[in-house]
Formats: sequence, structure tokens, C-alpha cells
Amino acid sequence: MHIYLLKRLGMTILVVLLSMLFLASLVHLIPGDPVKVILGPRASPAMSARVRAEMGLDKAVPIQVFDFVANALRGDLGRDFITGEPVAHLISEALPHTLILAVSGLGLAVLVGVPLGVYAATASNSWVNSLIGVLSVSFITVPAYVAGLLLLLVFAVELDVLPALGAGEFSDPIDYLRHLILPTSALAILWIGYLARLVRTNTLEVRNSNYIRTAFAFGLRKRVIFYKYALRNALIPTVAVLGVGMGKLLGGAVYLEVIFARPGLGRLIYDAIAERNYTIVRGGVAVATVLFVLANLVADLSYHYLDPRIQYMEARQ
Amino acid sequence: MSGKFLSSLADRARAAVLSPPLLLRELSRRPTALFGLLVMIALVLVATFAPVFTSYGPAEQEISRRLEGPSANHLLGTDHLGRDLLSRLVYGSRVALGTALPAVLTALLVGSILGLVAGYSGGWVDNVMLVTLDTTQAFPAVILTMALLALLGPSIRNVIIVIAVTWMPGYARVTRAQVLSVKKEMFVEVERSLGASDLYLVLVHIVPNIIAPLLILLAMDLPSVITMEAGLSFLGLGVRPPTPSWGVILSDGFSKVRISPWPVVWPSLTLTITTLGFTLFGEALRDYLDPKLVGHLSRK
Repeated sequence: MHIYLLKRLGMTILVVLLSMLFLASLVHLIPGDPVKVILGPRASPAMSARVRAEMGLDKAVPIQVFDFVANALRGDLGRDFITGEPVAHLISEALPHTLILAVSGLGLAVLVGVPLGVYAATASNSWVNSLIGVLSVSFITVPAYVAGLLLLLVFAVELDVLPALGAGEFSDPIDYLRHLILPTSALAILWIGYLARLVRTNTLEVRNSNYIRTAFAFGLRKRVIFYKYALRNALIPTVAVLGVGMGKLLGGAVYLEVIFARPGLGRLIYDAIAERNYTIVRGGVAVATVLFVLANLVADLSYHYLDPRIQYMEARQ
Repeated sequence: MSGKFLSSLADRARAAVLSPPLLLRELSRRPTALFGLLVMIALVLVATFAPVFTSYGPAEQEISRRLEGPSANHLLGTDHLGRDLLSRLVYGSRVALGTALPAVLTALLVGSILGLVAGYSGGWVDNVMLVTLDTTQAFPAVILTMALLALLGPSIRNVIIVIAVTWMPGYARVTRAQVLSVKKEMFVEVERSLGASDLYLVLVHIVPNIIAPLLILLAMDLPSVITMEAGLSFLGLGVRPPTPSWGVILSDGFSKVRISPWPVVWPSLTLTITTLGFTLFGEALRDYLDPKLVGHLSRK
């Protein structure tokens, strides 16, 4: 386990460093003057000069790349071209909203998707089973922005029972929660379908394994076998999937923050693209990437921790 | 994965490629696959013969009739500029397919070549490739595509390039894994010992044996790419107005959602039915080309 942990950590650090290198050199990978690439052909000379100075574009490319990576590792992601505010500060203000949305979306998906999957695997009624199957594949195919728009249309515009815009204030938790309901539901829909399917397949797979057959042979109650023995193993692969899912969640959050006019990392990047404020775009992408890589790492390590069979296989190899 | 199993996969993949009617007959036996197939055929027909399905041009405006609901003149209603929603959705199918197909095929072509080189060469080439793929996949897809499009500028060509770059590592990984498995098979070793060149081994023995998983991945990726293009266009980073991408139609509808629901409802339904159809078809294709999985599932 320790060797695996070290290898995995080493790989994570390498990937984070390389992705920062990639981000730092991105403007130079696209043909043309980097200032024109960033600001477009109609940029004013004053703005061009400011961007050139802020990003150090007159220095040699390797120095620019080194500066960005070294500063980013210290938490300095540059300054907003327009207001001069530190990008790290803007991100630290926006990020909690995105994390709350992502965690609540995933939480709702687990709360609904896992029981649905277990029910589909244990239900003797094939009609219910098929219905859950059709529902889960339909949920998987609804893009987050379509779900968001339709929920907004029904609950905020037609029925007018939930707020359509903004995130509310942290100081008023009830209001914040009311603003969270629609985007959370829109984000969760895909994952409810996905988790229901995954848990159903895993539970069916575990049900056919020898230790469950033995438990049945020992005369244990079906409920105990399913919920104490089968579900525990069936849920393990779900942990691994949730790590990979963080990328999709962040992507979905971008759309939902735009649709519901919520503050957040996605909205920050989106607005920055509209005003060609590249340091914010670059900083936002860097933070989203580190979050995604860390989520994968945590999921991978938890998967190893939860399933001793993987460690055993590694030890044998 | 045994050689026998791989050969069986390869035979099925070759049969599928060489004889589409056989594949279609197999797939049409499942109701969900049949639904998927019908959606795909309908989409291709609508995109090919767009003018037959509507009497209005996609950019034809009738301001006096803006944001109307469905009627005999405009079956799905009109948008904020009085343009016929049906005709915009019909022409939008051209953008959806015209972006998704080239993007996925480019990702497949470039990714599989990189995967072939990495898997077949092994050693440092493979290691460098693996780290590069890991790095590319470290970025959340939507956020990476947004950043790239912010620099490249919004256009259909750039959307195709950016989506191809984002999807390419998936194909490279699958190809690499398959090549690593096939190149150790006895029949490859035998051919090599008989003096076959690397190029011959790759083209004649390895490529035919790795087509099936790539075909499955291609079919499963198409709906994701269609929704990605529409999503980027919705954000204003993909196809530019007035080109009738489904994402652009959705974005136009969103701006007037408090006045009329139809410009949001119809593109949402179109996107959902299309992705559902493609997904069901892709899954049926996967089950057909992967007999091991079918047996596995049928035992349940």
C-alpha cells in the first residue's frame, strides 16, 4: 500500500506540474502575437501594454512559463487585467459556491441513485426493474444545461415557487438553500441515473459471488445478506467513479452557474472569457484542474483502502 | 483477454463493418436499440433533406410573428425574431452531425495512431505518451474546451479541433491497452518469428483486432460530443448566431424564457431524444460486439 501511495502521489504531483506548464505555454501554442490572441485584434494599445506587462509577455517564453508555475505554486495566479485585483482572491470568493453546488449535487445523487439501484437489483418485479432501467438511461442522457433550463422554466417561471437567479446570502441559510434547490437537482439528474445503473449492476454481480451463496446456504436472512454483505462490496466501485465524476460535475456547474446567474468558479471563467480577461481564465482553469486531480487521487486511494482485495492483488504481483 | 475471444470480437467487428445489414438486423431485435437506430436514421434523413421537412429558411424572419406558440403555419412556434423553430431545429441537425462526426473521427484517427505507436513501441515512448495523456485528461473537459475556445475564437472549425483534442486521449488509451494485449498473442509472435515486418504486423494483425472496442467507444462518444457542441454554442463559445446550432437556439430561447417557453422546450427535447437514441444504439452495439458482456448480462 505504501509503495502504491508514493507512486500515486508522485504521479499526481507530476501531472499537476505538467498541466500548469501546459496552461502557462498555451498562449504561445496558438499562432500569432500572444497579446492579440488574448485580447483580439481590436485591443487598445494601453490594454495591450497592460496585458504584456501583467503576464510578462516580453520575457523569454521559458522564463514566463517558470514564473507562472512558480507563482501558482505559491498561490499567486496573477492579477485581473481590468480591476487589478489578485486572481487568487477572486477565485477564493467564487469557489465555495461551486463546491457547495458540486457536493450538494453529488449528495442528492447518492441519496436517490444508490437506493434506486439497490431496489432495482433486489426487486422481484421485472416491470419495476425495467422502469428503473429506462429512467436511469434517460437521466444519463439529459445534459445538465437542458435539465437546468427545464427546471427553471417549470419551477421558477411557470409555477414561480423557487428563485431563478443568484445564490442568496450565506447569512440567510434558508434563502441560500432555496436558491440551491434547482441547480442542485439539475446537476444531480445525470448522476442519479448513472449511480442507479452502476449500483444495480454491481449488486447483481456481487449477488452471484460465492460468499453471498455461502451466506444464503448458512440460512442468513435475505435483508441481512443484501444490506450487510452485498451492498458494502457493491458500493466500492462507486467511490472510484465519483472521483472521475468530479470533472463532469465541474463542467455541469459552469452551465448551471450561467443559467441561474450564480456566483462560482464556472461563472467566473465564463465572464472572464467574455471580457477577454485571460489571467482569470488561466487561474480558474488551473484551480479546477487541481481540484479534479485531487478528487481523483482521493477516490483512488479510498478505493484501495476500502477494498483489501486490490492491495492483495498488488502484493502478489 | 484471450486470443480466441479477441478473434471473435475482430470477426464480429469486420462483419459489422463489411455487412451493415447484418448488424442492423441483429440490433433491430432489441426494442431500445431499434428506437436508437430510428432516431439516428431520422436525424441523418432530416439533416440530408432539410429543405423537404420545412417550408421556411432557418434565417427567415417575420418579426410581427415573434415568440408565437405552435400553430398550423409554424408547427413548433417561432423565436424572438419570428424565425420558424421547426426549420431552425431541422437545419440545426446539420450543425450537430457536421460538428460531432468530424470531431469524433479526428479524435479516433489521431488517438488510435498515438495509442498504436505507444503500445507497440513500449519503453520510454510509451511512458512519455502515458504521462502526456494523463496530463491532457487532468483538465475537466468542459473547462478545457472553454479555455481553448476563448483563445482560438468561436467557430465550427475551432469547436471540431477543440473537441477532437479533448476526446483524443480516450481513443489513445483504449488503443494502447488493446495493442499491449494483442502484441503478446501467440499468432503475432509466430508471424514475427517468421520475419514479418513491424508495419505488416500492425496493419494486418493488430489493427483488425482492436477495431471493435474503438467502434464501441465511437458510438458511445457521439451523443456526448453532440451535447458538448450544443453546450459550448449555448455559452456563446461554439457556433455563432445566426447559424442554427441547437445550442444557439436554446440560448436565444433562454433569453426570452419568461415570454415564451417553446424556444427552450423544443431544442431541449430534440437534444434529449437525440442523445438518448445515440446512447441506446451505442449500448446495443457494445453488447453485440462484446459477446462476453452479453453472456455476462444474460446470466442475470
